[in-house]
Amino acid sequence: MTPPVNYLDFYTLLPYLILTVWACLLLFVDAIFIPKTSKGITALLAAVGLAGALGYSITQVGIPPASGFNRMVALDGFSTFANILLLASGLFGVALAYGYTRRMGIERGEYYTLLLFSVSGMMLMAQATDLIIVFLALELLSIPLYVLSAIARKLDSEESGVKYFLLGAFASGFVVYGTALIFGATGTTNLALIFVQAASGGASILLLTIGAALLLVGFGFKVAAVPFHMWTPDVYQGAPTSVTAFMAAGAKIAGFTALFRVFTTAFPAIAPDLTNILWVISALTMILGNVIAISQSNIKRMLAYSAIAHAGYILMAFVPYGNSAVAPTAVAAGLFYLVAYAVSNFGTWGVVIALEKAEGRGLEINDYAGLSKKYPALALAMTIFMLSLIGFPPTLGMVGKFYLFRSAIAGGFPGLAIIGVATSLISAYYYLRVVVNMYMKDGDPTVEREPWLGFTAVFTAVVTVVVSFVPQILFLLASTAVLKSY
Amino acid sequence: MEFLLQPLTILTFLPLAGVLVILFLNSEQKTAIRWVALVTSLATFGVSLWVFSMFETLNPDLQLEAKYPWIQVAGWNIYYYLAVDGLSILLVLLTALLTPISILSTWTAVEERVKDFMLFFLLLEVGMTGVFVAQDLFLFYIFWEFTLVPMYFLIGIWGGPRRIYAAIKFFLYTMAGSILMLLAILYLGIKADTFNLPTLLVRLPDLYATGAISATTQMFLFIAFAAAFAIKVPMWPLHSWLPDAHVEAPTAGSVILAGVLLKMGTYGFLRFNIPLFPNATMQAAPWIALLATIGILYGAAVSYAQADVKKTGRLFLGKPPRFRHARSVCAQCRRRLRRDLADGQSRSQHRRVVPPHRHDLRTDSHPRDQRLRRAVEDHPDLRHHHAHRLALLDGLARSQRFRGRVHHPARRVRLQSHRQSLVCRSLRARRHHGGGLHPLHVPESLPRTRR
Repeated sequence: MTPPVNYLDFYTLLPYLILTVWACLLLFVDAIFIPKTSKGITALLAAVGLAGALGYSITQVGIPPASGFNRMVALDGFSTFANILLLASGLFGVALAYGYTRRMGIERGEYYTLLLFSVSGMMLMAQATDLIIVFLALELLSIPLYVLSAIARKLDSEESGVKYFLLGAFASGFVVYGTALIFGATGTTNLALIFVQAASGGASILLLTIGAALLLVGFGFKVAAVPFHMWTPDVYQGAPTSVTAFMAAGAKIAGFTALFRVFTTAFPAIAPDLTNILWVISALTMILGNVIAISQSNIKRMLAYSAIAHAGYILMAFVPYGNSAVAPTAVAAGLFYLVAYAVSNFGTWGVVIALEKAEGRGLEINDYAGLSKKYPALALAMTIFMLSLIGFPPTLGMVGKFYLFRSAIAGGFPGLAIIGVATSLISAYYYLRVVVNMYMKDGDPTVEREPWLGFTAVFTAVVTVVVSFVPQILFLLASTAVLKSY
Repeated sequence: MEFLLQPLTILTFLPLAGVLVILFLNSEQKTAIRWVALVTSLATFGVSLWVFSMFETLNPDLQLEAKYPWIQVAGWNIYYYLAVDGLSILLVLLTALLTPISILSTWTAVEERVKDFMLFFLLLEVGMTGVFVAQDLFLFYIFWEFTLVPMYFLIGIWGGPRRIYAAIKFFLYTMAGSILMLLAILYLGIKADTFNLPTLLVRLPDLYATGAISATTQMFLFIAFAAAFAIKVPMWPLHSWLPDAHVEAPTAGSVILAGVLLKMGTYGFLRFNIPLFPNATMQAAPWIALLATIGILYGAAVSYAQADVKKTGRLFLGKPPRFRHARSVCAQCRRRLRRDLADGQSRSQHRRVVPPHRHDLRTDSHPRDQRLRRAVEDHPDLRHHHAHRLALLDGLARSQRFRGRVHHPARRVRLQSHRQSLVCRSLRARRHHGGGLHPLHVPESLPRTRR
């Protein structure tokens, strides 16, 4: 007999609940009270909701871990870390969308509501300790993203939405099927119990391994790991850029938090098999993502392949997850890098949005020619983001990559680390191409001056540089975040 | 905040003060920017002398240590650790001395984007000084990699015609070496639980003795470090980035490249490779000697065949004096040209001949003018002498004899003098016939004197 649900259970989900309730209210308020011409108010209200939940999540740093709803969700350092990151991503998502949607004529109130729902799904993903909740969260975060991808109602955008939806639905199928197999093998969907069953030998290891591999397919799809990455370039290119920016960071963070928690909690017993699979996926992702990015001339596609490549780097650190001495470091490194990636990512997309014109013009890398002469600050910010994505000092990306490589080497995978650095070298080529265009070629780019875009670019650039000198705070948060969840 | 007051911290980061000031200056205030950069670099030189005066030359240990815990969480044992010994102090002095000299050399040579130039130059000085004083491998790596960024911009923005190619080649080549070193640093850091060089030197012998780091691993670590330094030196056969970088870099950049950046490689060998991996060093020594010898002979042989004097100084060889190419116009004609340009006599008649700045040329959109612009901009001899540039172009247009490449230095000198007399003759002839300068004849395809 399971104990009844009480108010303490709701307490564990409070940040998520705040956001969901706010989003539901916003849906009504937006439909009834806010006129079509001033949807900026909706954006503001959405930002208020995100900021409120963010503020509350920050107060939860350092509280003792708790679980609720019969151990289906957990509130611990890990989930709080992820929640803060996701809510901040949501805020950036709103900031980037505010002017962009208006300029492109796709301003709708639903945009912000959907974004809130998606963030809440991501947060649930980070808190889930049961495969059923993982699936629920996966759908909750994905479906709004499908709609958002198609919200521009142009051919590209619709193609992107449909493609994302079809392939995403397929990937969700894998997750469900994997869950079913794991349930068949262990008789439970609870992550901790799966581990107990597997460790005690009361489960079919074969079924469990297949189930875990199928889950990996689903998560691999969300984080855009090779060979489940096919959708990424088309969806990133077709979706409105503000959606892409949010999707690139948010979906990746959510996918990785689920992967980290599910694998380290439920599957350490079958780590030897899964480690091999992860090794191959990670190596392929790094190589393919970086190599194909070289040939891209459209910046959105280039960044899509770069997003694929970065999924590979994070996976690289996670490969030795079965080694209990290294696992906390691996996850901490992953979380740290997700922060570094998210920060540079929003900055980069902010610059991309600033240069984008109607009808998808201004998105070629050549369109960045001459940026440094007309807009030195913007070009400097973009340079910082590019250096951060390469992993070059003095940026957060460099510290993050240092951390990732360190955990790969400490886990006993120097070969993977070598692939990692070699592909970083490849990546330097295509990131530098943007810098070459901005600083070393002549051109006459025009930039949309929007306060929120400027704020996002400047803020993220400053964070990227400054935090790289004092990464202790983030290190401490990331590593304590992990230690509490085990 | 105590670490900010350490002499070595001040020495390393003082150029940043100049960077901050320059950031707030308008990019049109070129002279002010130059002065700020010069004063900052001179002040840094002063600080370096002060540091040198405190340095005890008879003491072989690390001195003037500034050691503060930096990143001490999650198993990261990283210190902010600066110190100098006899090996680094001289290189620090060299860096501090060469920077103001280089800045002076750009006083008239760099007219475009002076603000950016000086910013990058001062940032470069921070990186270079940091490399020589950092005693923590993590810190060292940050400075080491950071020097790439400003140099990349210096070559890529103010360089010669193939500057972009050279800049990217420089960046990727050097990065290829240093990322291997990064892995080796991480491996050492994990094994010895410290990134701190003196501590590593204490702990490593035990690790080698107990077999925690095997002889093979030691060799791999040696190679990883050596790769980074050998590319920087550069040792044969990892040298091919240097001729490009040298030729294309602005002269001040070449000075820093040859004077300091390349020394970082040798410094790295002495500071890290030899003490950290003593056994591997002994094994590798004959090979290093072999490569170095090949480098000397190869470099010397190849230098013979170079048309460009900047290309010759490479590969463990001393740099030859860095003179500009022979003048393209004789003194008499140069005076006349200046007078023409000054009194604007020809300006009314031949607008295109006397644009005061390069920008004006750029605005012309006629295809012929575009070709002219390209030719003028691409010509390496004349980047900074506008009148000469135009005159030379005109003269060259009259002679199809200069097509093709110039292969031998001796032949090049002959051609230089020939070209000079040709240009001058054509200038005088025109002066004789009509006075003033003629409109330029832009050739359909432009002769190039070198690749």
